[in-house]
Amino acid sequence: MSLVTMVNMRKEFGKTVALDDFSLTIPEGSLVSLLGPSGCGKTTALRILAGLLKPDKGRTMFDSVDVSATPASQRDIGMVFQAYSLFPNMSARSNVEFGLRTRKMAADQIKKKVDDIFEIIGLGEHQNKYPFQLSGGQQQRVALARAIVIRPKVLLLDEPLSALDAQVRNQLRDEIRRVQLEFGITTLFVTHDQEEAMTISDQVGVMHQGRLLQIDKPQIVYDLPANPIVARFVGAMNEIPVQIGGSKVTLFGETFDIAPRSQLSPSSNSHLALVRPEALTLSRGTSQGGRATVLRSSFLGATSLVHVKLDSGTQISVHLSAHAALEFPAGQTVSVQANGPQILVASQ
Amino acid sequence: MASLKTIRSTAQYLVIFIGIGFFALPIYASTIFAFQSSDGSFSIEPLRKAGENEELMESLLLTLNIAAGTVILTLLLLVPTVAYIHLVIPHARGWIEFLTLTPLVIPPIVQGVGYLYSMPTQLKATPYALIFAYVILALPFSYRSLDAAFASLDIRTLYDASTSLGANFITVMRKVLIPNVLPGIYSAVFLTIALVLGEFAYASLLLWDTFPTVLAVAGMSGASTAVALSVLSLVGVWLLLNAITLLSKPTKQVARS
Repeated sequence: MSLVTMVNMRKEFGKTVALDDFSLTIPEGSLVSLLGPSGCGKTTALRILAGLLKPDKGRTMFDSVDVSATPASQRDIGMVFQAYSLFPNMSARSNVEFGLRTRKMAADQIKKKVDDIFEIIGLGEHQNKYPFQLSGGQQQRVALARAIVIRPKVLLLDEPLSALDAQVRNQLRDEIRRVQLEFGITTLFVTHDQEEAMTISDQVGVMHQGRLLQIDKPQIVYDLPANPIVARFVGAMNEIPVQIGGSKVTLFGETFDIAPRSQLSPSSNSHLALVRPEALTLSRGTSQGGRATVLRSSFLGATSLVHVKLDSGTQISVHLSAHAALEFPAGQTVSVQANGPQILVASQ
Repeated sequence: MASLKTIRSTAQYLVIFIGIGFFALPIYASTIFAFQSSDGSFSIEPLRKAGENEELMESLLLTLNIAAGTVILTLLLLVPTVAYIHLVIPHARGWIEFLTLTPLVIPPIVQGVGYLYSMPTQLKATPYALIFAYVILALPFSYRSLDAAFASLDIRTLYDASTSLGANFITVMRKVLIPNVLPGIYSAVFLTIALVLGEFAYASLLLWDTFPTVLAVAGMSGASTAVALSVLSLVGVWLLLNAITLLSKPTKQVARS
């Protein structure tokens, strides 16, 4: 395991800037996720880190060693891909042995390491099967075993769960975290799935148009997004037109401080308050707060999302316990209130 | 409706029978001509005579050697090249495929003369120089076979996966890519052999006695021997093509992974 640093990376594909002044530090033994929409540059960053892509500018360091010019085959990395990447002509066991054989390890050592890793991933009885005989989840688990059996300095996971169905995805997600912690491997996990990133990461980095907008602990990224772009991308967000005055914003008849991370354009007169569904409350009647009508509720298990239409015409969602949501049937007139003390505001 | 169905079905069978007849009748006629004696009995006398024809046997051996050389050179050149194209310049595949088709549209006389002028003098003195011409001539078939085989794989992911595990290009080719494109390689090999066994124009233009040219000459003096060998050669090629079909069936693991 290593401390991984990428410094001032830039990568262009024709006229498209895939990475722009991108810097990232992955502390030794931790799991950092890069989260962002398709085309934001997260996979480009991962491939540069792997040595599979050359940056136009910037350096990659493993501990204090500059590996920018080191080819992928000599970087000592393990990688799991989005597509099933097991070698079709080899059994699961031969696939896992591949990296050890290229390192010319002794046969008895290879046997021991491979036996151990199959026990860890719980696929001992499937080790002689070929990839076509394994399910998607099993193939990705073998691919994970193949990547970590070589005890790489860095483990790179390029959306390894996106081709799997929900249940298998959750199982494998937990397994990745368990194995990563057990081996203490420095890991970069690339995904567009917020839940995946939030669940298993020590830190989450949010990318947009080739730039890393924020990197921090998942809770901080969610609660204190660095800017409206991060706020909109991470978690659900209501966007409610508001009026601002100085450093204050008026929402549902109440005045709040404008959050310092807000993006206000001096030339714009149109502003949006960005409020999470769980930061709103509903009450029957119209005594206080913003007047609205309940449209419908989405049952989510322990909680429900109540969709309401404000008198201004804006539709928003309010996150309530499933029990509380029963009090607000469709057509019910309600009042909406926001929990302070600060509201994030973005100019349109 | 039923009658329309019957007509359609009959028409389909008719087309199939005409197709089979178009190919089978000449072969049947050649077989009868070559192996049937004047008294109506069948014998393999023409083949025995062919076996005694030293020139014919030497030319067959030479042609088989040329075929082997052509296959080796084709594979050495094309397998890494097609892998490189798929990995590095996949967007150029269409143009490259178009280029490989040119031997089909340039007349042999033009290619042959151009080839004769461009060949170093030392190479002009040996029939094995035909190998270079045949590699080009076989390109439309060999390239397309290999291209299709590589296209059936997620070659980028397999390459990246093996590289990330510490393998160099040669190891990736030897242990990962080649084993997974074997059906395409078999196809390229057999089509190339079939082409060399039947190629007449180049050898004749460049004045080399290969199996097809000697066979043509033999046909002038002993027609039944030449036709018997032609039938055998045809059966040989047919068996090769069937072997391709069997070997080219994608294995389950390659098809589904």
